[in-house]
Amino acid sequence: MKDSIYLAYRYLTYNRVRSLVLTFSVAIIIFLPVGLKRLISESEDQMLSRANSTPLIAGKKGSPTDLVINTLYFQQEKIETLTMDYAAILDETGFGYSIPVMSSYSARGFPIVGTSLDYFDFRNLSPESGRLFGVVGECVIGFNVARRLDLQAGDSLISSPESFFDFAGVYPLKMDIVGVLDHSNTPDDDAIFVDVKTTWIIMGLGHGHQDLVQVYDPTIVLERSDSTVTAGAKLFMYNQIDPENLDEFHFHGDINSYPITSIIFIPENQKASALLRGRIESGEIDNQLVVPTLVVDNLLQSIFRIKQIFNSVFVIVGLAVSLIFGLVIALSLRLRKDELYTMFTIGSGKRKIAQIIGMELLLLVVISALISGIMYFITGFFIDEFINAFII
Amino acid sequence: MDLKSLKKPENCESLIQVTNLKFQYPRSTFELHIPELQIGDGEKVAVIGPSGSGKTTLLNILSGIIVAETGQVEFNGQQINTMSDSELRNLRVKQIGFVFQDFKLLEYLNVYDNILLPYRINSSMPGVSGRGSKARELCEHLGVGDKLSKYPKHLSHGEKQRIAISRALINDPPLVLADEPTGNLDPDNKALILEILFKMSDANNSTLITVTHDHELLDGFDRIIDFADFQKRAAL
Repeated sequence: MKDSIYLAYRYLTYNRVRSLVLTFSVAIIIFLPVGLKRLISESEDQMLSRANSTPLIAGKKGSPTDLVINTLYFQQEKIETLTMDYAAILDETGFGYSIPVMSSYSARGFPIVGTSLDYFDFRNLSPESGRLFGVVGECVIGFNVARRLDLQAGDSLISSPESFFDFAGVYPLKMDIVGVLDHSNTPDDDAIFVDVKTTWIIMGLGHGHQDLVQVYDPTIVLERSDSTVTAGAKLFMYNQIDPENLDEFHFHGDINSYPITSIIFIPENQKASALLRGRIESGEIDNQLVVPTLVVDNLLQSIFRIKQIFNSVFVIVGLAVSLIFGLVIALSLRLRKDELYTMFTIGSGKRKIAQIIGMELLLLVVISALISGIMYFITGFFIDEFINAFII
Repeated sequence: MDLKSLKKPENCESLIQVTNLKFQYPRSTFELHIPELQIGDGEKVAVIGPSGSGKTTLLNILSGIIVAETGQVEFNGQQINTMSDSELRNLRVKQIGFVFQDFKLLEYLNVYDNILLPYRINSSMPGVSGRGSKARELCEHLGVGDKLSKYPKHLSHGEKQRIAISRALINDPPLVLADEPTGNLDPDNKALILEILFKMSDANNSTLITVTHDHELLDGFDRIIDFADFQKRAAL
């Protein structure tokens, strides 16, 4: 046996290119279904755990999936907004409390999530360094945001403009980073959290500018009366909120009518949840209240069906690769006929020759299995990032 | 040198004894018929004759690769015809060294491993451990001592044949069968390889049976068996 292994090893290493191609082909065929199974299983676990920990989500009527995905994973697909007063309406039912979520903007590729401080208690998030935001213009960043952008408390971050060519649109806001959250292995690691009012400032619903009472430049102040002052485009607008200009920031209109993308509602108990859902479903026309677990379950059913299709594809690809593998071996044996006959002539038995060939195949398969095992092991290190980047 | 003799010299023991051998390949009209053939211990015998006259077939029968339907083939007093496959394998690996025209070295093994191949392909052989020094000694003796780690593709034809001879002699077999060992070599190497075979045969007192077409190299053999002549005799 030792000699068969030695001869097989010599053959494989001498024909290393052929051996490597065969080994990696087999390794990939072993790894793909196993890796996909793990990926889907981890995705299911992560999605369900996030959904299970979020009892109810309220939002504008539309796709429940979009609403849940936007609220749980801060995906930037545009969804219709509802008004802030709906949070107060839900609170007034006495069934629980609500947390507003406004997730429509981003900074350097990471979503800006406008919310209240209740969100951090609800998700058990605490700062690894610094503190949570206290006033508008401050932000606290997720663990991955800090790591990838090399940021820490004390740095600043500028929100991305929606369009470089829309001068009347959203102005970038420079936000002070006051804290970095602990690693939570959830989408919260990849988000920038601000007070919901800060997102309204980013939207342009609130702003800060020079005190017009003190300005007499006629190129800035176009019209002045006892009750109103009309300013022109030359008026200096603040793009950062600091203690000096904080008082100059203000909102026009009723902030209860300002938009939020969704509301996370935490009912006191299951009965409260059921009662609230019943009330909303029977009476509410414009808004919806969804149970994230049910929505994610539906989504996972679809993923499961896709997985079954993938599995069928892998079986076919596996068969094709096995046939090619068999063909390569058969052709190789034909090419090696002379060599094998030499072995027979000088005293080898057919069984011994078969053992040597079998050992070559076994070594190929064992090495392939090892490689696919290593690939599987390495996948474990990147699976969360992969899930966050491509699945959720 | 007796060109027509099929009997061993009186003064040496018989290693091979063939009696009334008949062999025919399936779907072939050619039939090899040897009424009597004796080859003595330590003899150096050349087998010559036209192509297709059965010279290589004779070597295959003597080594048990082909089993003749009729007649008797004795090796060292043992009947080859009646041996089992495993006995025949053991006979070949332990008692016979093979040298081929196209060397038949395994391209994926270096010189050292090629020489020790007989020890790796038959479980009845002792392990390779302790055989390395013999392999080195043979290579040094044949002038290829510096090639042990080389692969066949890096060797000249003459060097390849010397390695093949080393492999044939690694376990000191009493019989060496050489099928056209000089067929692929230039004139200088032909003479050199035959000289080596003769020397090694003398040194080990092994019997050497060489099939060859090189009539100018026959001088060193003790006896020459001409299959053309033999065929005529068989036909008579």
